[in-house]
Amino acid sequence: MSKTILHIDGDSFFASCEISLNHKLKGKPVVTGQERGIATAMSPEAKALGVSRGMPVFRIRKELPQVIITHSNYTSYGIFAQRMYDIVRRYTPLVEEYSIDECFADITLAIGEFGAPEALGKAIKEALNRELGMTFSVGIGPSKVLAKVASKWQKPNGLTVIKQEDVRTFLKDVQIGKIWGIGPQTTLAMQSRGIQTGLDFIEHSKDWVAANFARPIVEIWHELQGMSVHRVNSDSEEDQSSIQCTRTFTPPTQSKIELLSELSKNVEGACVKARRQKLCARRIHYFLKTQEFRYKRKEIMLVNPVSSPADIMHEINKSFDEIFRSNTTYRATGVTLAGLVDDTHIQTDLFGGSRKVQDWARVFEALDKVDKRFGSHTLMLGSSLRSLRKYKKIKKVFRIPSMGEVN
Amino acid sequence: MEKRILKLKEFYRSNRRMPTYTEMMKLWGYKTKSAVAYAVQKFIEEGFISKDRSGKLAPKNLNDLKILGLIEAGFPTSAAEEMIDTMSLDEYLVENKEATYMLKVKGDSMIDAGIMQGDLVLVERGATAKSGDIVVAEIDGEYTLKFYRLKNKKPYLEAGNSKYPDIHPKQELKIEAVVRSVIRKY
Repeated sequence: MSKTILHIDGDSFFASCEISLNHKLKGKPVVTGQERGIATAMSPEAKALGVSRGMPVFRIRKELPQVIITHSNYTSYGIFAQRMYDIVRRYTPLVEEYSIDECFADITLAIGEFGAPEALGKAIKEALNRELGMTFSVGIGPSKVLAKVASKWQKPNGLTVIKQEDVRTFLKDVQIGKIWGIGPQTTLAMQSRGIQTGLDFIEHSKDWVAANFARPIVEIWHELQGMSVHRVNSDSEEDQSSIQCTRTFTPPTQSKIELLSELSKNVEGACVKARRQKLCARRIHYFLKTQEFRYKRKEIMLVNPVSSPADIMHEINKSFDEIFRSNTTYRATGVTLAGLVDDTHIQTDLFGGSRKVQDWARVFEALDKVDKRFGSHTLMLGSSLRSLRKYKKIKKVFRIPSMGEVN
Repeated sequence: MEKRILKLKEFYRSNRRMPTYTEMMKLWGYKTKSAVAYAVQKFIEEGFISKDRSGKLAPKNLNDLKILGLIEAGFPTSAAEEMIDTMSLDEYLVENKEATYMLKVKGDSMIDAGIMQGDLVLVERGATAKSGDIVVAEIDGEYTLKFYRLKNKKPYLEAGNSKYPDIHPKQELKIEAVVRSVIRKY
């Protein structure tokens, strides 16, 4: 069945959050990132003056003294992000919290009640604008990649719908390197084969693409044709090709021990889900997210599929130092179990490597029974303890941003 | 989720029947029936409500909820006002979570409305103001807290203090938010 996907992108998000909470900044050139020494977001007025992302603060001060430079306030940006996701959830439960200023939603089933995708997109966009006090660019298309093309089409404050029959007209004007998922290397490879635009790309046959590029690029080819391959990854999806567990913690930390404990808890969480469905993972992705919302990622390929947190933590410990930096503040960790296989199909390798895995399997089978009887996290890995102690204390708190004073 | 179950429970108590999907949309602030249908399915799976063969909903364990989550942030209130035994302050003070902001009050222009300097007001951004509401309006680039009034269908602002004159806007009156609650600590 064909799908309709919505993508929402906050316009100059961090700067817009600052302006939303301080109306005196409205209409002025505003730049965030003072504490980092570089511009992290610019209001349209600041962009018009020539400020670009990453421009050093001292240079802005010197050359453009009229620009207002503010500290980043990640707590309030996080609240605005959460509110954005929750507002979209009034329309459909299938929402993917893609990043702090972006989300995807599968609106296939919700459109009927609004008559047309434009009407639904407009309703969501207006609710966001009205309640959050800032603008968003909304794109709608038959796949995630096309929805992203659409949201970029008209920025800021745009609403663009790409219908199946208009796909080629749109892609004719999209540079291949601007398409989501196509990096600089692939762009060069495409250009050397004469592909400049999205349309050039989809005019090649699937076989040709498969012969010249890796699988992710073939998937993009499908998505650009209007065939939805990448599903909207809301937590509630039952049919899973991967299992994910991530958590943002407060306060942020620089401590390696804290981070490993957070990861450990996420690994345990993901493994419970995996075992419940009798699945084992062949690949493990994990990430650390910094205070500046930058991701440091690592992927581990496993010889034997696993579903035991102890085995996974053992692997993570081996590579952790490759992505961990001291003197960097982190705010979230996450783990994804991918390459999932039915745990009954596990083969024993020649050297008995899966023996140990099976022993663990029995331990965790018992653990799941204990959890079922006495509640979750009755028994756990020692390495998760620290994170859990903290977790119990900070239950989900409803935070209200301040808009300053009023006479 | 707890809030949604609670709303169901309240509805059931006062109407002696389960709400329709359209009523649930209003009750929960949802904008589509498919979002309602999804939540209903969840509640059936969790055992709070059940569905009979004709597709009609019935309450099942709606009363269990009190024990599940609300006690922790619990706060006793007069039973007549709210038909629940405990409540959370968030839920009492805030209607639309996503649109709620706070502002600190300066000055005495709303003193007759019982709003004093230093009070915190919780406001709902983008809500439609009705005559008599206390609103945050934008006048000459500044926010001001006043009564919203309509005279011959023309809106103007009135202070809650006779010392201050009414404000009749020259152009369109921009209402930023509507006040939902006032908080004062002693």
